[in-house]
Amino acid sequence: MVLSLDTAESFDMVMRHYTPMVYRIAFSRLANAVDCEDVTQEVFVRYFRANLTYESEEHRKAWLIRCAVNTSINFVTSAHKKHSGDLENIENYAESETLSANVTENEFEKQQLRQTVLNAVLQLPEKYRIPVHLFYYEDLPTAQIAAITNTRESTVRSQLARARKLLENLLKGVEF
Amino acid sequence: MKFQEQYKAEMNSIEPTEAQREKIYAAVYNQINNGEASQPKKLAPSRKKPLPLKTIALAGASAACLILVAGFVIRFTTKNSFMVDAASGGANGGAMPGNSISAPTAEDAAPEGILNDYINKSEADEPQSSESAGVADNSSAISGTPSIIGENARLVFYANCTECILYTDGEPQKFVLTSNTKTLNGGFSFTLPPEKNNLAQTLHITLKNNIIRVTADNQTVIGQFTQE
Repeated sequence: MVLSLDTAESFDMVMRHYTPMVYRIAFSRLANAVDCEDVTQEVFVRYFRANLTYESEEHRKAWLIRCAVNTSINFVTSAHKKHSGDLENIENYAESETLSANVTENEFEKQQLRQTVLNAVLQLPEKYRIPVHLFYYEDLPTAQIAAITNTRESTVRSQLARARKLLENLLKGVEF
Repeated sequence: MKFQEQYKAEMNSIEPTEAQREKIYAAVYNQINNGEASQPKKLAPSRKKPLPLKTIALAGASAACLILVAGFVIRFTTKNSFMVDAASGGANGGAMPGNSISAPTAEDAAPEGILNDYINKSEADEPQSSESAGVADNSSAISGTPSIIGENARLVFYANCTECILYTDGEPQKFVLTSNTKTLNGGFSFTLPPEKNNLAQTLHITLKNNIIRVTADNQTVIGQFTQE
């Protein structure tokens, strides 16, 4: 789907289409709903202001991903950040989950497993979370992740390797 | 892959609620409409990296310098070897590379002129007086003991050249080199080590206790024989 930016309607379509993606990238870094809203809003304001012409839809998506990553990173170090510590954010996230009364025991266990996996990722050092998310969720190659995060590909690979090792320890005993 | 599946599944459930979306969109439009003038359109930064012109220019300059240096080196080394080859050019017609040195026989004919020219241009530490005085051509007469060897007689031969010159206390003597290793009566002969065949070097001949010893520049003894 190629969305041109000629009209306000097009911008609205782009924003609605990519809001979940931007939100998730922010969440992988911040793990806080309120902060994720702020980052998402900031990303699309920048997108509108930039008013760029993109070679393709992939180009637009890559631009948005990069903007979301940078905005999330800057948000952590900005004065607007109110929360501190990942554990608190994870607890917030965990508490916000509500389970339907109709969930079966099997589905409940699956949900628990997924939450355990996500919690483990959110316990990783901040610098590893974005590469992990882009690699395992967005399915981006390491070269593209390196371009987005403005690092070397070897750095991305070593970050992923270290993250995997940490996740192994965090998820020890967890049966997939 | 299990981890990826679980992570993806959980992340798929992470998205703003409807209320959050409306809140985000309202904030975006509010910010846009509050005096944000639209910027003129411009091309997004290309994903392609620009040509590293600086690197290419530097590499080109380095390559040019290397070629110049290599040219100078080749020019100078070629010049030196050409001198040696030119000196031996006259001898190529029938000469054997100097694998052994023996006192020339009467049949050996020494080419004239070429060696004299080479002596004048040679970088070997030849005694100037003997060079300027010319070299006595004794090739036709040499078949026995050189008249005088002296304490520090010096036998000089050149790469790819079939003549050698014996510098002694007397007149320098020119000899034609052959592959004949026969020891002539009163003469001297020795076989050069194969690895030194293509090297121009100065041989030193000493006579002590009737033993003629031939050594190379580095004091390596190449051969010794008893003067008869």
